[in-house]
Amino acid sequence: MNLTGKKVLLTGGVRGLGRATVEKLVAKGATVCVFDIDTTGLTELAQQVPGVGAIQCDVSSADDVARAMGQYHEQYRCADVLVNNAGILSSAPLVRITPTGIETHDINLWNKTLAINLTSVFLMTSAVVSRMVTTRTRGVIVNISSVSAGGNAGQSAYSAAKAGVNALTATWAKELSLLGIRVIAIAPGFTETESTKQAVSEQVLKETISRVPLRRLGRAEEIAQAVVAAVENDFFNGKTWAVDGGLVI
Amino acid sequence: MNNNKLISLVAEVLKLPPANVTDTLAMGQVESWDSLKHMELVVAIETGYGLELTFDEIVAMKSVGDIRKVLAAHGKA
Repeated sequence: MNLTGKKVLLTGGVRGLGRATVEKLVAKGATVCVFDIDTTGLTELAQQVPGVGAIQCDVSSADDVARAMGQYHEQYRCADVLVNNAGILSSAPLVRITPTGIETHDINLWNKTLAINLTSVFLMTSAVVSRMVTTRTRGVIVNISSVSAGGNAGQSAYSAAKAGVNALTATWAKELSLLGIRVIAIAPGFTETESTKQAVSEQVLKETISRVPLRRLGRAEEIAQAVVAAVENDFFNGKTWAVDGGLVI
Repeated sequence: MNNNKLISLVAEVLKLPPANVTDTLAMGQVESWDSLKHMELVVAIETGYGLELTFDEIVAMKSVGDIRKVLAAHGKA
């Protein structure tokens, strides 16, 4: 797909990987609209990247997605590409031994992580694909996964959510390819973003870098570049592309 | 000729003997004609007849007879 003039809807585009992807897509000539929960961030994004649409949305809420998609479709008719990027990094072990006994993984953190990283992908994709089908749009769905989908100690919820994202990618590719809709995923490795710094300790990051054959973290623009390349390649479908410096080989 | 073409096409997609494909054959009557198979049928019709169906036409194609009406509207009857 040539991105010039194509309409791209991206979730979680205010900062980090999402923001880098927005800039890359705009540079390719795409018409980009961002869904994000951060109203202030959306206002700043719209000011800093002219032409980018901004709609406030909690993508983990079915009602809010329905409202925001109504607004989007009124303005843009139908997206050619959906990038499901919104997510949170959460780290917690299944059980933790404390001086007072054993603590288990917090259920609220589990539910929140699954809602934002997995349910949002389901809600957004079903809304966008419904419109693609009714307008016979041959589009692309890009899910941002993670190398943690293969299982990462200390990230039960996050790993489970991202494994779910990979499963949805394969399932939907099988369901939707006949309609000309491709579904793909990008699985970044550890990347230099604020959310990584907040969620992972410096010591863990150092240890992780030592396990990356390239001996460094990924850069947000490298992940964004992969998103663009995957959208542009019309034969890439149903697969998850790990962009991780060789961490998982 | 076109009648045979449609019957062959439906029979091939739904994995049915051509003799079982009549105008009254409808979605839900045979197990193989589910929503996913319906999309396969749509693509086969579009490819076979060189046309693009609208969403309304796709939804309207509930039986072989309905498909025939849609094809007629495209001048493919």
